Amino acid sequence: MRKFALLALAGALALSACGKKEEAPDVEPTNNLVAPPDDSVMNADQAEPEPEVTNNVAQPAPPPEISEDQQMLDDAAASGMTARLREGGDGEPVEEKGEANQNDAASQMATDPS
Amino acid sequence: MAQTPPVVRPTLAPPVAPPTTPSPIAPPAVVTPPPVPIPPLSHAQAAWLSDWLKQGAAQGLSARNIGMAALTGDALVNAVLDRARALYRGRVDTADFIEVWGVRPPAFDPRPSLAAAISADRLPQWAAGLTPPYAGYDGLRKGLATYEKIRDAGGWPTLSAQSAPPAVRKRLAIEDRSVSEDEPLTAALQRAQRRYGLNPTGLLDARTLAALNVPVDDRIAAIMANMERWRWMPRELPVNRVQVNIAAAVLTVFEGDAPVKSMRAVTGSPSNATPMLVSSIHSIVINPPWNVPTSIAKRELWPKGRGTLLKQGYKILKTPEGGERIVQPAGPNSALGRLKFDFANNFAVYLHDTPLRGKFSSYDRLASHGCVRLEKPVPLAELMVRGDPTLEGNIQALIDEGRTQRVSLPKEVAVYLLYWTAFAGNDGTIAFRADPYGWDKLLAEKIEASSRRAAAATTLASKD
Repeated sequence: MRKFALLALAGALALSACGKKEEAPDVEPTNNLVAPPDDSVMNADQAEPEPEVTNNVAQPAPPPEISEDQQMLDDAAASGMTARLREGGDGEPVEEKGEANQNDAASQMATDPS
Repeated sequence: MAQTPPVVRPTLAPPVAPPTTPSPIAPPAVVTPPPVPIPPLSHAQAAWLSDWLKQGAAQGLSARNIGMAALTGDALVNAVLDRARALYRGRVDTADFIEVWGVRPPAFDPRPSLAAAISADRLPQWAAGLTPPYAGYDGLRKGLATYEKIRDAGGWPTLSAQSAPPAVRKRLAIEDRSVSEDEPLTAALQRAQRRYGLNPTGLLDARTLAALNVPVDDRIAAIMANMERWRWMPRELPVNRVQVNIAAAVLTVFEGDAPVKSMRAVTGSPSNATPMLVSSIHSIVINPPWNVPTSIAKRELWPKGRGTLLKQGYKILKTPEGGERIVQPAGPNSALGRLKFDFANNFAVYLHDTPLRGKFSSYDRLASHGCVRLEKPVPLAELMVRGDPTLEGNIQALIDEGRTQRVSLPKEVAVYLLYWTAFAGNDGTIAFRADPYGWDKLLAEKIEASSRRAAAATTLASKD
């Protein structure tokens, strides 16, 4: 437990150490927390080396064919499946949200000028 | 056909008055309204609530069902209220959060809705309305039951690089019901690798072995931790929003509550955690310069020497205090790339482009100082400025001008930086990611500790 608490604390401290609290007053406060490009920038477009293979299967398989739509659905599931369930607790997601939330102007994407 | 009675919606607690500041004039006394009285329970209602209390494990509030003494009267009501609060806004009190868990549920008083449900004799509907109303939570709830069955059946064997293909196939089938004898083993391995966020080579490499050998109890703990995070989510989300999974380093754009675009991202390294937060993107900086934070300059740039920094295009500027700071001018090699998406937050993080494109082809993308780097920043910007005739379709042209400028969005866009390490796929199979920040274990321990405290308090109250 202590190990993980320390790890989490270390993460928090590392983040706060990069935050704007440390900034000089005249420094643009939002322009930070990014990685400085290092001397290997020009070579950074190369993919990382594959992990060492220790297995009992002969050759790497070609990557599975995943359609763009399927990838987006998988990414959406990973990002948090926020489709709403039907009221009444039957566990089935609602297909489309109603109009009620469309009026939440503070958090709208600029897709509907009306 | 019999009509289903309407759900009794839990209600939010009334807003709490802000703390008063000292004043020479005595402030008026703060009158706290008396708690809503709970009507007497019928025998059947008391029995139903007693059974309901025994089901905490099904909602991920404890690793196993905790044996509870039979409760009656006030002790039963207090235990029910405590369970309702836990299901609605999380078992762990926000005071026990670490700073970077910036998604925080509001206060919730279950008394009014419980009193109404008792009066209307609709306790099951009331209880059903307490849990998060999202498919993501429900998928984890079902997944938790699956993994508890796996655990109770003895878990899974540890594999090695020498494990025979039938043993590997058998192990994969424990979590993936679609594994069949007729398909190549590589296909089943690739599905598992995709579920674990690994490179889908179909090879039983070291990372795949490590993922397959994670004990089932750890998988259950991860599901419980993620169910708890769902309880922190707002009960209503704007239909248009950006969601980032920090642990999976992936971003999805939702319009009208449906995903319309997704992309890979690079999120904070384990020593530079990207915080969980909720905010709204209000503007985009085109061709942003980078004012290097003092901490990063001290740690990573000043050691290179002034000459090297100047040769690499950095500028060294005087500060009014007599010191120096480093600025990287806008340009193709700027650490911020060509676009920066700004939103208010206490952690000075944002979304941005990057010249380091190679990292996006990696399956290990937790490498930033806390910000979120984007694989497809221009398409994201175009989505956000749609509807603005001066901006729509012009993002690349504005970049090509080379001038630094800030453009306000026609409408702010909600952004959620979230941390999901377990989530149900569209077929119900649970996918897992590594716990790069150690937050799952920490949260699972906090949930267990809080559950034990609540159980002890209930036991104590029942003896009064």
